[in-house]
Amino acid sequence: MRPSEPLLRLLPLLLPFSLVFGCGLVITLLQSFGFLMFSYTYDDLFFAYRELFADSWFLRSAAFSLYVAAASSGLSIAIGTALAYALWKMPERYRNFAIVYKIPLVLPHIAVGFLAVIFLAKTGILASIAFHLGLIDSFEGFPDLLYTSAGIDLISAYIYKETPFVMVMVYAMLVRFDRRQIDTARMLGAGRLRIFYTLILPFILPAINTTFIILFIFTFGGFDLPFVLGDSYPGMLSIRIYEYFFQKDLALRPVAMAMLSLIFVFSLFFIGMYLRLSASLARGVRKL
Amino acid sequence: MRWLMHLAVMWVFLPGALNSAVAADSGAFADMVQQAKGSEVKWFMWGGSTTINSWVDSYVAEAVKEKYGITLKRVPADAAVFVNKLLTEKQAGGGKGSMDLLWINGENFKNAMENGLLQGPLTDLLPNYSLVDPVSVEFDFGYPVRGYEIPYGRAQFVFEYDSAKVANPPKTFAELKEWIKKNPGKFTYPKPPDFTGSAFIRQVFYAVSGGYQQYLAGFDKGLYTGNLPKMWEYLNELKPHLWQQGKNYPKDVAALDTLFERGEVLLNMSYHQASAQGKILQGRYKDTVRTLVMTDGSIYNTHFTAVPFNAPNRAGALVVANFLLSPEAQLSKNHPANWGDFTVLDLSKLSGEERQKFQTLDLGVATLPLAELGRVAVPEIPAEYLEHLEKDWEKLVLQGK
Amino acid sequence: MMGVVSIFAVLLLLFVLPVIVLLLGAFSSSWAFPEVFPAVFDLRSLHYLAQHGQDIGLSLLSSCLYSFGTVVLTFGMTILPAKLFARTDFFGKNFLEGMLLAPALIPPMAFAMGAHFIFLRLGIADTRVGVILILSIISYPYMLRALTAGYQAYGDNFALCAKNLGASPIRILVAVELPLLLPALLAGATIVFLVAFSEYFLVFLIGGGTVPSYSGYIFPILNSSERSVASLLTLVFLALPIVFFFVIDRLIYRANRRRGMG
Repeated sequence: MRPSEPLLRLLPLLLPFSLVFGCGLVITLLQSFGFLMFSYTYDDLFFAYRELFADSWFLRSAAFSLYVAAASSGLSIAIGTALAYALWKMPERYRNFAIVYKIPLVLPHIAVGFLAVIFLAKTGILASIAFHLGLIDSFEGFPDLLYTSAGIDLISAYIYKETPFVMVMVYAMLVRFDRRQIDTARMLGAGRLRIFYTLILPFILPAINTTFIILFIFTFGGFDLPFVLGDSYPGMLSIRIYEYFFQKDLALRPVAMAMLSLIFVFSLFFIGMYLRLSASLARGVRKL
Repeated sequence: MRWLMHLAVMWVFLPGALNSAVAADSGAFADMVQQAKGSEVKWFMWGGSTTINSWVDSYVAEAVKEKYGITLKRVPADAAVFVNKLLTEKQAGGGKGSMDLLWINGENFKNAMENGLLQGPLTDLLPNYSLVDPVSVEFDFGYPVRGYEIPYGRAQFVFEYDSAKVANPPKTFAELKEWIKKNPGKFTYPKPPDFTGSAFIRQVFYAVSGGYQQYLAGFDKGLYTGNLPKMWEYLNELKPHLWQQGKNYPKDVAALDTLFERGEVLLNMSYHQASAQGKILQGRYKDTVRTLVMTDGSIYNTHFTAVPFNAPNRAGALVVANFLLSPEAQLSKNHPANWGDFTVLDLSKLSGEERQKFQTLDLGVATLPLAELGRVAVPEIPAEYLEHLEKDWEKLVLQGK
Repeated sequence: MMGVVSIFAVLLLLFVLPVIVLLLGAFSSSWAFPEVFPAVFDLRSLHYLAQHGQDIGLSLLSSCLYSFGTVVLTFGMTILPAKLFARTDFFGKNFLEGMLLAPALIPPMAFAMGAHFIFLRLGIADTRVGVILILSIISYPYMLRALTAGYQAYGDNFALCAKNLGASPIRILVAVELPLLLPALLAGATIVFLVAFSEYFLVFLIGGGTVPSYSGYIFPILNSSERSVASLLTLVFLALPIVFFFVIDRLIYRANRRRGMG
């Protein structure tokens, strides 16, 4: 193949990629430093960044976003892997019915947020069930689950949406696993847990790692779901960005762009660190 | 000979030109109607009330289609968001606009005017504007309108409660504070800058600082910083007794409506004085819900429409704005089943028959009579105070500094 | 056996229960605490649907159109690169592949606001073209992955054979490669369509309210206290892609049967 041919074939992709993604990022970065801000000029190049660290709200919101991302991705991975494994072990004829697990994949995030409100409100479904079970006397007895700084509503909603995704990814990996290895291990007397940890888990670990990275970053920077669910304080970073971009003075837009630039840098950093970490851990594990 | 002809033409038409503005305008207006026939008008407005949305989508859209052949498209958007969008479009230059008509008022209007985002003056172009008393719509949150906005409704801030659950609702802000302390967790207000939530904190500001007159002269920084501590003292005193201990607030008035309808809070608030009756008719409220106003005063304001600088269909927008000012549209809007919003028309300028229709309109048992509303009505505060209040609320109350 | 039952129970509880709640809630506007099951049913939500049928239909159609447009555009963008990544090796290939996956990984907000600025200057903000373009950027990695895997699944031989028989490159693409790619193409198209159809923020940002979308239509209703209407409209949101995919699945099945590839 001539040296210029790869480039030609890549052009239909590279062109929109550089224009929208590449230039988009560059403009975000530039605007965070006060450039390209229409007729506004700023004396201080770093004014937007200084604004972020002048008060504690940004760091608190970032910490909260990290917490929600870690909790929901971690739990989704745990639950999703367990369910995918159970699904894989099920006899063929029952597996077709299990397709219902793909429902949350089709529901958009804004609908899942709406569902969370229906279920978790003090006058919602879970509260009604608790009332009938005699756990509470009136709706006031039901704990505050929505809009709290514990983020339970956000985490539950994200878990609902993300678990099927984990199941799809892990299951796709599992079908390539040679079942005979399990039979062999069984014959050698290995218990079920041992089989999972020493045979299955290392095999599906690449899928789990990829999925965790995807889910973590997505939850960290996602907008749709927190927007519908309603905000708490300090709330998710994406909502703070929305406020600075749409609701405050146009002159404050660099602050929103600064937050986005930091999110971008963090995402790259996170991917790099995580891949490095999982690679070093994998080196310590004996391969078959 | 030619100049004689010209003189004759002028002489014939001059008296006509000197006639009332209406006559001259109907010529220009008729042109606009002709231009707008078969066109589409995009009306960007707040979409947080399904009642108002239904009225616009069914009554207004059908009427302008039938009368003028205009297809009206309502686009839900918060005023702050679309003013921001206009500003970006103006700064970026180039590209055509996408909004024809806007529902705008208050600080958003001031922002838009200061950045040259609106067309005008427009009110003289509309025949139906002659039915309005111009003095009543001269200022919008203390900012001079000068014809850049076209009035179309009047709203007043009220509270709502279920008389079956709350026998003795508070009647002043001082009583409200005591009531909240006795009923912890049963009251909250939407988070500013939501329009209703912002109005609530303005009400508090008036109530704790001794009334509205002192602010009418325009923004006075010293006066503001002097009175601010009283407001956040009041709100912070309320905080631990509010819904979710005041650590969080419903993100908008729709969220507060949901809490009230589900019984999680016992008092609701609204900037639509007939909304209780409307919701009773829709089956969302029980028929024991009633409206109340605080004797400290209840803010009223006018809502307006305006045309952005880059509106693709200016003629159509003006025809729709004019229709909204017509007695029939105002009457339909006033009916609690449709919206319940009060009219901006000067009833003395209407025919006897039309006037009667307004006066005999049944606003429903849950709406307060006009006299009672009028007794406590106080005007809105100048827009700069509003912006400062919202910013400081975030710092002093939400973040608790 | 117990294991199977318990898994089913968990699955049903977790994933089907919310849909059941939506179904019940769609037909009861007075479902309140402490009813676990609605006491009174009514058809208010259907009235709303009938009253606003035109607006709802238009927004649904618009969403379907731009989602389909996104599928077409992402296909056009990735069909040639997919073959390249699947079949050839070149310097920097791994890095490029990784970099090209970035738009699906990085939160869209990070570049969308900047992209909006560009779109504004180019005049495609507030247009369907702009919406399709931005949606394509966040969803093309899925199509790229699918097509690359599709190309990797079968070798060079089919194309070589056709070439030896004298077929032109376009003929090869249409008559030989596309049918072989079809399963992968459909997998990618399904995901791309779903991502585009469910998206709210980007359509709102780039479309600016001028481009109708179903997610934009339903959003204020989800926020309101009209639970029955919101539930019904959410069910439509759920049902539409499912019906779509089912129909496509059946069509493919029939097409494969006819060709003897079923």
